[in-house]
Amino acid sequence: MRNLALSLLLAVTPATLLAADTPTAEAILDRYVEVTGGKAAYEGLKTEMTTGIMEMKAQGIKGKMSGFRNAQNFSYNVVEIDGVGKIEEGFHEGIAWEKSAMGGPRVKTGEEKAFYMREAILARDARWRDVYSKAELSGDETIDGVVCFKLVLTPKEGTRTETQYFEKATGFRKRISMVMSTQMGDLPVESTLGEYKDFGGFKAPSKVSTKMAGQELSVTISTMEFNKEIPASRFVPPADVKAIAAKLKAAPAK
Amino acid sequence: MRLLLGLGLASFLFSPSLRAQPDRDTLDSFEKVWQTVQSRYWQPTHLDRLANGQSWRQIHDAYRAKVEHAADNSEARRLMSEMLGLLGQSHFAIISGQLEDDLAPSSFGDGTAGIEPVLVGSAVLVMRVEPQSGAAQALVKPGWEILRIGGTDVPALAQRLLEKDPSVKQRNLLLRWGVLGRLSGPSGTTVRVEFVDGAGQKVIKQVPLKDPPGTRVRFGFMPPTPLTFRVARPRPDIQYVRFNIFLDPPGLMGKFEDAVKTCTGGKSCRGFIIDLRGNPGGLAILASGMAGFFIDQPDTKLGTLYQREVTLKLVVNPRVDTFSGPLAVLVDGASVSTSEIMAGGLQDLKRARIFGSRTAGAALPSNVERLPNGDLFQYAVANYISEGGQTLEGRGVIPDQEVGVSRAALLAGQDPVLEAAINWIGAQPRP
Repeated sequence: MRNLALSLLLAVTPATLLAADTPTAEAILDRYVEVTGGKAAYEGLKTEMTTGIMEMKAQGIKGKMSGFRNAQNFSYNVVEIDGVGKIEEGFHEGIAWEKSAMGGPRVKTGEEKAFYMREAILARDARWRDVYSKAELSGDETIDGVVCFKLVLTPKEGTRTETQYFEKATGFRKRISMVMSTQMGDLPVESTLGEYKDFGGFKAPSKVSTKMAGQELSVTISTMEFNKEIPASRFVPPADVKAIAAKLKAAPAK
Repeated sequence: MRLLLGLGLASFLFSPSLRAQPDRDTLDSFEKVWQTVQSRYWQPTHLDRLANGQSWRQIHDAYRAKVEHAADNSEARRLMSEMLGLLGQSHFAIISGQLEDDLAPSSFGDGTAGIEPVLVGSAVLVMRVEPQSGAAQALVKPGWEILRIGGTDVPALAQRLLEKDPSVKQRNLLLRWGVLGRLSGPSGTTVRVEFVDGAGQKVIKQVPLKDPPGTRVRFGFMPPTPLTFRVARPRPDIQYVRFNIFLDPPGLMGKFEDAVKTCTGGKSCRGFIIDLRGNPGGLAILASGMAGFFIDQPDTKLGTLYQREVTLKLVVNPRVDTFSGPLAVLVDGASVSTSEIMAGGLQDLKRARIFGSRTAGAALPSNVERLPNGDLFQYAVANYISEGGQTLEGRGVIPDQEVGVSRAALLAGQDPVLEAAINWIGAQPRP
C-alpha cells in the first residue's frame, strides 16, 4: 500500500506542480499571438512583405533580402549577395523550389518541401494548430540570461520536431532550434531572435542570429509591411524551375 | 554551406608586414587562430598528435611564447603560419592584411605579363601566352624556358623548391605562383625576363605588364581577382571552355551556360572540354552547379564534405537541358581545390574522362576570416571525400589518361593534353 501511495505521489506530483506553476504549451503559443499583435489582427492578414540585410560578418559577406507571402500561402524569398548573386526560393501551387546562380534551379521534395510549405503559411503563428499536430512543454531554459519556456512542436507535415523557446516575462519567442533537412544533408540550425519592434501593428524580432554548420549568419529586418498588394506573378516560379517540376512529375517513381 | 570556400589561392599570398613588434591585436590574432583550429578542425583526434609528436594544446603554449617574443608582427605572422603548417593540411594560411590593402593591386592584377608557366622536369617553360598581353606584344613564344625574372634566378628557384622537400606534391603549384608573382606588378611598367628560345639562344625581353583580361571579382574578404573565361571550338564540333577561377557565380555560370547551350537541344556537338589547368578553385558549390549541365540523374553527388558537426553532400542539380555527349576535363599540378572536386567527382561518376597530370591534392573547403590585427586567416573546415570514396587531400586527381607536356611540343605550338582530349572525343561513337 505504501509503495502504491508513493508511486501515486510520484506520478501525480510533477503534473500537479507543473499545472500550478506553468501554463500549457497551447497557452504559451496563444500568448505569443496576443503579445505580437492579437488573433484578430493575424486573421486580417492578406499579405506580408519583409526586407532586411543578411550578413556573415566573419567572412565579409553581406546581402539584401526580401520576402513575400500571400493568403494563398504562396511565398517568395530572395537574397542578393555581393560576389554570389541572387538566391531565390519559393512555394507556389504545390511546388517548393530554389534557384541560384551557383547551383541552378531545383525542386524540393520530402521533408525539405514540408518545411517550406510550413514556412509559406501566412500568419502561421496564429494558425499553429493547423501547422503542428502536437505541442509539448519541455521545461525551462535560460538563454542569454532570459528564462524561457521550452516547447517541442511536431509538425503535421513532415516528421522533424522543432524546439521553440518563449520568454517567460514577455511571451516573445527567443529561439528556434531544429534539425533542418536540406539537399546537402541534415543540418542542426539554431536561430536566436531579439530586439522586437513594432512593424505596422505587429511586433516582430528585428534581429535574427542563426548558427548553422559552424557558420554564423545574422539578419536585420528593415521593414515589414502588411496587406499591401503583391502581384500574383511575384510567386510564380521561373520557367526552368517549372520545366524541372514537370520533368520530375513525368518521371516514373523509383 | 553555399558559402564554403574551396579557394587554394590564398595559401600562397603570405607576405611580410612592415609593422614592428607584435602588438596586442597580434596576440589576440594568435589566440583566435589557435582556438579556431581547436574548435573547427573536422577530425579532433588528429589534433591529439600531430606530425611533430605534439598535441595542438601543447603547440599552443610553445608558439604563444614564441609569438610573444617575436621581433615584430612579420615574425609573429611567420610563426603562426609555421604553427598551422604542423597540421600538415592545405588551406590553412595567414594572409597579410597589408598585402590585401596595399600590395594586392600591384601584385594581383594591376599588371600581368600574360605568361602561363609550367614546370617540365626542372625547367620552367612558357606554356601559354595570352593574346594581346605584354608577352604577346614582346613576341614571347610557348616552349621558351624562363631563366630569370628581374633579379630572380628561376631555375635556382625551381631547384630550391625541389630540393627543399621532394615530397611536396604541390611544388608545381608553388612554383607557378612564385613565377606568376614575379611576372606581375604595376600596370604600364615592364619586367625584364631572360628566356631560352626555340633555337637555344638566350633572349632578353622587357615584357610590358598590362591589366589582365576579364573582370575583377571578389568574394567576402578575398582580394579582388581577375576572372577570365574563354570559349573556343578546337574542332567545329567540339566545344572548349577555360576559366581561371571558380568565383562570381552570376558572371561565370551565365557564360558557362551559354557555352553548354551551343551543344544541347539537338545542336551539333560531338564533345565538350573543360580546361581546369592552372585553376586554383573558388566556391566549391560551383563545381556541382556546373556538373548539372552534364548529368541528368537527380540525387547525384560529386562527393561529401565532412565537417566536425555535420556531413554535407555536394549534390548535382540536373539542368533542364543537359549535354549527354563525351566530356573531357583537362587538369595539371596547378589544378587545385574546387577544380579537383569537379574533376574527381565527374571522374568517379564516370561522366568525364580526365586528361593531363595529377592535380595538386589540396582539396579542402575553407573559410577566410579577418583577424583582430587585420590579417586574413584561411582555415579548412571540412574534409572532402569524392563520390568514389577517395580523399583528394594530399593525393590529387589522377587523370584517366596522363599526358605530359614537353618543350618540343610547346615549341611546335602543340597542346598535347588538349590534343589527347580531342582525339578521344573523336574516337567516341556518334550518338
